Amino acid sequence: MEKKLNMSSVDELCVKYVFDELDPSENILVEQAMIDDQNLLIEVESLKSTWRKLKKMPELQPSENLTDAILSQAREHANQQQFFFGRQWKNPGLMATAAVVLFSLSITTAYLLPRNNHSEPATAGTQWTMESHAAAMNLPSVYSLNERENNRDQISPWIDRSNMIYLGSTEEQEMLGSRDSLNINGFRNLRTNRHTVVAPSLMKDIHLTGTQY
Amino acid sequence: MMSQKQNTSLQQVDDHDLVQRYRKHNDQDAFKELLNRHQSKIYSYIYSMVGNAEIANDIFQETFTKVITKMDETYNEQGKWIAWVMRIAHNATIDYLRKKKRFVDVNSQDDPDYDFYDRLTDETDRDAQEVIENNEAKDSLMKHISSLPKEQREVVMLRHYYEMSFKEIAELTNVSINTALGRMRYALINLRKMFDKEHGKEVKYVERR
Repeated sequence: MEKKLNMSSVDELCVKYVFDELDPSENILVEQAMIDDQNLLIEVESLKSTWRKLKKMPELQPSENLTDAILSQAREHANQQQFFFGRQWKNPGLMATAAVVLFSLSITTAYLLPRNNHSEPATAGTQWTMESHAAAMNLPSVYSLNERENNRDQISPWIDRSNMIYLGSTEEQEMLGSRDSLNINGFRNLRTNRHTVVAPSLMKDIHLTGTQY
Repeated sequence: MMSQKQNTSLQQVDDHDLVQRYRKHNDQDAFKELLNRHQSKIYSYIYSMVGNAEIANDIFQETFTKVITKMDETYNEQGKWIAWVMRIAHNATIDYLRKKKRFVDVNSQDDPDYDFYDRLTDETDRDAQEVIENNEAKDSLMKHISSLPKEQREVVMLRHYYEMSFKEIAELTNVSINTALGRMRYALINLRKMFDKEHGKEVKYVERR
């Protein structure tokens, strides 16, 4: 069946035909339509000749001052970019200075920062979560535990008459707080003393606060 | 001599490679070549839309300030560089026109001293009579174009100066392709009527429906 032009799109197709934007099959359709309809042919020729006249539209040049200003702006911008990211950093002296400054800065920062902020990057997330949890539970922070873990060689655990396990001397114990000592003991020694250490402390807590249940 | 040779060789480099030379190697000659290649079309488009040399200069400079500072951030090298620049120029022009809240006639009373041809390239080597006739024809042409509605003028200028496809024009002006085609059709019909009127001819446009 022969394809015919849709009259609602014929205007657009005519313009596309004038500007040579039709695909070959649409081209054939428009040409066939122009053979069939003389008015369409006249309109298309009229559009073509008008467009040909517009080809004479002049082109203007911006002033040289203007283009020079733009070129110098481009140069300045490129120089700025280059200073921060470009060849300047290929200078070995500058690179060495920058490295020394960065190193000194990192060392100084490490000393100035509170020790609690130290954490291994790989475990930072976990550390934060555990510390937050510990804080929420009113427990000693993981870091504190880790720190004490690291210092365990300096602390000697001992057991009193009530089978309570302590770390270090009584002075050290006072500094740590009895609750800390119990938890540390729980971590370290529950395998051997689990029935004697944790339970009295929990009961004691319940009696003291009265808010656990 | 060397620079001349380099300029000649840059003229054979396409836009994409020139942009890469400028961006990656800070090649100022490449940028200069890009500017030389496209400045007159961009400037003509802006000028034909705003009809005032001073404003056209401002918009032209604003356009290239954005080109220089935003190229690394916003031009992804997938599309044509000139289409990207043209979008900036077009948006800057439309912003200006919106701020003015009215369409600017190229030969408006705002700029009575305006002469479109004052800024044309030197044509002294051509026959004087020919130049006068040409200028008259161009003068009349520009007068008619300036009296077109802004939307129609925009489509004509984008097609003429940038040889943009209707798809590109539609994207740039945020309309459908059919709207862009329709605007071009009405622009050509209106211009045809103006030319006929000017030459004392009766309007020969044939209404098909």
